Amino acid sequence: MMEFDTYKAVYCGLCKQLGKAYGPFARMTLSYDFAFLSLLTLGVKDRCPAFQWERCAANPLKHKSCLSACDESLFAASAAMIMLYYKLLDNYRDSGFWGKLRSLFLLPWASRARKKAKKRYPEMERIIGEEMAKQQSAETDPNITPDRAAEPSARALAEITTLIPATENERRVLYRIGYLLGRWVYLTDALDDMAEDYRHRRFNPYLVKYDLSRQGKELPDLTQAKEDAVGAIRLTVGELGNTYELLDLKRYKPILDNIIYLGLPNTLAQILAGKTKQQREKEDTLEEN
Amino acid sequence: MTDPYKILGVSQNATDEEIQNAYRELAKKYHPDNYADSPLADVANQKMQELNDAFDRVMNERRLSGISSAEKQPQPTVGGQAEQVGEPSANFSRETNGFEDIRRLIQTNRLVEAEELLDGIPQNGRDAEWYFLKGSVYFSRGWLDDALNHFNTACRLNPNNPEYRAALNRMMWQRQGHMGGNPNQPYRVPQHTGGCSACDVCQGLICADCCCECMGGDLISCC
Repeated sequence: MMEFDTYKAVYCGLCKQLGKAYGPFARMTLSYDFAFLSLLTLGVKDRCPAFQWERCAANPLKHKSCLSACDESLFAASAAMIMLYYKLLDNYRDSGFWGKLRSLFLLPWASRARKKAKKRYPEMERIIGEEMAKQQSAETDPNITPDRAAEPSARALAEITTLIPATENERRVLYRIGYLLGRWVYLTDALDDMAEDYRHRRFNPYLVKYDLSRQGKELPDLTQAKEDAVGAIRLTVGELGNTYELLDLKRYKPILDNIIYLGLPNTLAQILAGKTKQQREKEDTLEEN
Repeated sequence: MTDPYKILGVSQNATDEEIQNAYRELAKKYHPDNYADSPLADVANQKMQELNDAFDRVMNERRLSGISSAEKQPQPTVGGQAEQVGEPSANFSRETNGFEDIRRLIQTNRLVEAEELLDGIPQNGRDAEWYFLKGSVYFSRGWLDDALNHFNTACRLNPNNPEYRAALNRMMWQRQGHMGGNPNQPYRVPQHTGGCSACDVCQGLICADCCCECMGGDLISCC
């Protein structure tokens, strides 16, 4: 149970860091991926990370154990801000009128956050910017395959992880972990959003692969496309596990084990059980209340 | 020098049997067969070497100080010589077709050059080994779908080659949802094949709580 307290504390610490470095709205972007990235970077660090008791931003009546602001949490928070900016840009391009309006509302703030992050980590910003530009052009390629479509997101995360101070071997292992995690996120989103992408005529590598461009109002049979996506996701997470085992973790192996061997497959199971992102988020909000 | 007990993951008071079990589990994990096509095969090989050294040291120390009750010293079951292990197909007899140089490029992670050479070979020269090596390039790069397709073709063109078959089987096994390094279920099928213990229920709940919390909720408030 202690490990999960630590996981929560890292998560809380990241939330604090986001708010401290990038303003209160940044906290709302807190995500699973970057909490995991934080844990990974802290796991390979030589010195023990420090924790402190702080008031929770979301619930000021609660005091929580929080990871103290450190290089690693600032690193993860900055990566999150840069990725968010490019994701919003992407959403703006792909959306209809209301979607564009929503993205426009958030973009000025996200752009400021990204500029701040760029000052702190110029190399990271350059890498992500380049890969997101490649993502754009990949999506216009009629011969795109899921492997190639996932590549920019995968490489962005891979390159980010190599910025973490580590030995040469650790860096190689971290690169591959980052690559496979980025790939996992991309493919999982592609599976999760397949039906919606069809309805809104948005790019989806599996819709391209199975030649499923929108013909009418009826949703076509996506079974084969979805099975293909599931296979690719399982392959990715299997290889991620294999690669992760080569890491010399100084701490947090039990939590990271749980995330990789239980958490990631569980997310896939939830999607297959038909729970949409909105449903999963709704259930979580109801639990909180 | 790193504590060999720490490498094996056992306490200094562990019995010989516990040490041998710990060795076996770790050896299964770092076994070169698991990393045959991986760009990190050399890292896995180093870990295997470290493990073998740690095991030797512990058992020798115990024998010399009379702690060990074993009459015969158990030998490490997996050889860790650098020149044999850590290469693709170290354990198989290779049928080569002048692709030695391409293999060496892949082993040293010079994927761009390897791919250029492979692409330079005309269609009529693309045999099973060509597909296997192209698949290995894709695998190293992380293009796992393409890797699987190429390994499939390699096996189709040469069904008797154990190296291609092993690579394909490994990927097919992973594609079904198995995760080799899982410390909770080492190398067994972690399916929900009926029956779950209190541990499974607890583990599942903890995991659900963890995932829930990272989305902003809290399934179990006390943990």
